[in-house]
Amino acid sequence: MSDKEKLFQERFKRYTVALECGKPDKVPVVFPLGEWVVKYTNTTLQEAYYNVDKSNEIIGDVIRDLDFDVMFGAINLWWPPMFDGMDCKLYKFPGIYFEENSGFQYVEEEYMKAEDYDEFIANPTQWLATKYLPRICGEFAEPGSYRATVALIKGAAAFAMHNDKLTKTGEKWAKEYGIVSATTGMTKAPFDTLGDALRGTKGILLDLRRRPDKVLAACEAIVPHNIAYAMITAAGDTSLPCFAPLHKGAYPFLSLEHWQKYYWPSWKAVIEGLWALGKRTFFFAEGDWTPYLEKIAELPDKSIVFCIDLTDAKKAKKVLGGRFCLYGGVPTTLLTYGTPEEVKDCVKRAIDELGGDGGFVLAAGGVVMSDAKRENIVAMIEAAREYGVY
Amino acid sequence: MGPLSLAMAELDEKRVLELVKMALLEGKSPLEIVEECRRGLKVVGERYSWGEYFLSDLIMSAEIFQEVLRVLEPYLPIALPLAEQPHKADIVFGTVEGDIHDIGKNITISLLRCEGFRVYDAGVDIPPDVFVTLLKETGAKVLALSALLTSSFEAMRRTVQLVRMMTAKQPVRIIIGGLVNERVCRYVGADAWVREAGEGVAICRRWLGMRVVKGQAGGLGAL
Repeated sequence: MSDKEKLFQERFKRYTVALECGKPDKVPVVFPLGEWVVKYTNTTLQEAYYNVDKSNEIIGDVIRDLDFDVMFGAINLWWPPMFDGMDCKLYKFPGIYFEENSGFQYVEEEYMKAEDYDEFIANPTQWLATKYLPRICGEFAEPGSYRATVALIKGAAAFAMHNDKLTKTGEKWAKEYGIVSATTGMTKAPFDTLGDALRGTKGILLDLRRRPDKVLAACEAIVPHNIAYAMITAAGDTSLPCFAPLHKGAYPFLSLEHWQKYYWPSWKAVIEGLWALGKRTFFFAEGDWTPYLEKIAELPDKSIVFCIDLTDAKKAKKVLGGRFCLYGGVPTTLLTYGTPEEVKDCVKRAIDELGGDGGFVLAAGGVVMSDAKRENIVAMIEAAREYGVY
Repeated sequence: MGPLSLAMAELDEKRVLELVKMALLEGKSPLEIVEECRRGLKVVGERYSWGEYFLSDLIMSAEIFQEVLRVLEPYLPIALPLAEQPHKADIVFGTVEGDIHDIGKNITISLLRCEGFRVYDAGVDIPPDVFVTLLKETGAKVLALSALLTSSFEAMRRTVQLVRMMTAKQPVRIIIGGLVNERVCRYVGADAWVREAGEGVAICRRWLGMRVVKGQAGGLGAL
């Protein structure tokens, strides 16, 4: 076994022991990968998005001399050619719509109309293939046509190619740098699938009062899809948790009553379904989830890693600590607007408050974007090693 | 509080519309009906501010109010701006260049219109010079800039600088909204910052005065 492989085993153990709520030798620390790494090179964001090999080169240069355990995030969450090849209007990417150093953005619309609910509920896959795809992709305008069929193949092939690249990249980081990936696979809460991608934020929030039964039925119909999607995108891996970016379950979108009735049951079903397959969920609770912590605590022990963004960390520790691994501790705003000294103090405090008895992973609380400062991220990682020895 | 205000406060869409139609049949003035709805909306805002209501409720209340205005439109002597763009506006509102997020902007515009302000919705990804043109064309005294991405603060700053330079003869107060704070506000050079739609409405009220005044046609004209 090479030194790097030994290092990988050591870090993998450190991370997974924490995920199991145990106490490793040190607090595992996560490198927040994001668009910010491109800022320190003469490459444009456009090039980094489109050229995966180039972006890997950039990442390699940044992480070479840093001592951390786990990597989370990406420069390019989505590979634009996959969307460009289908003439898809869901995202706007730098260089084509925005200037070449802007991040990508999602174009939210009511791609699914209120009158589509029944057909969607009856057969979500069929509805997506015959109604949704033609609405979001120019190449699918005529479902069943030669052009649409080729587009379907192109899209699937590009998705597979990109996933393959990501897997190989993960292997490269493991082998050459001894770095563990934070997650494998991706899924969402059914309410977010419906609200983010199909009905839009306003659409789904009005539906809660105008056609609540349809919302419930649609969320239920999505559950098996989101379990399958997680396992497919993870290529069956169960050693690491499945990434689940969560949106409309954050305070103050929904009242506790609405949250319990419409957001939670189907999302809980996905988490429990995955847990039954041995797959843990990376509960990426963007925003503030404080009012819902008690409900989240009903999940099977260890079935999630709870990420603290704006959630009250002390309360999260009290309600979830010991039974679920907690992840976070450093606000993303501090990494952008703070100083290395402030970041260092924050890391010390986070480890004291959250890490005392294990079951804690030190990381940025959310997605670190293009505006983060390298010196702050280096300070975070160094401070984690300084204060994070059990 | 009357039954209409109450139904509005409870966000009972069906009942609000029933009561509005009934009131019209009874010969109640559209102005009185609007005023009753607004009293209900005020309760919605209060309930939101102390945490009883949530974002979904706020969006619902604005939606119901827009529907009421649609029902009332044929009965009014003057045209209501509803969601259409006014030629003259009190407020020009848009998401800055490089950012296409609009939920916060849309919620706030709905609430401002509920309060009777004429709001010109500039849309998203708006370059600084377009804001300047819109301010001149509409004669607006307030510019509201929205952004979700922290990377958009630069665009806010550029917009504020250009507006200050180009509208010297038409003093414009600038408010920013999104994930902003005092530090961002100072950096971009705005006059006020808010994180909540309700706070934004309160500041516009302070800057521009109240709009709808009960029983005065002039008040309605401003609506």
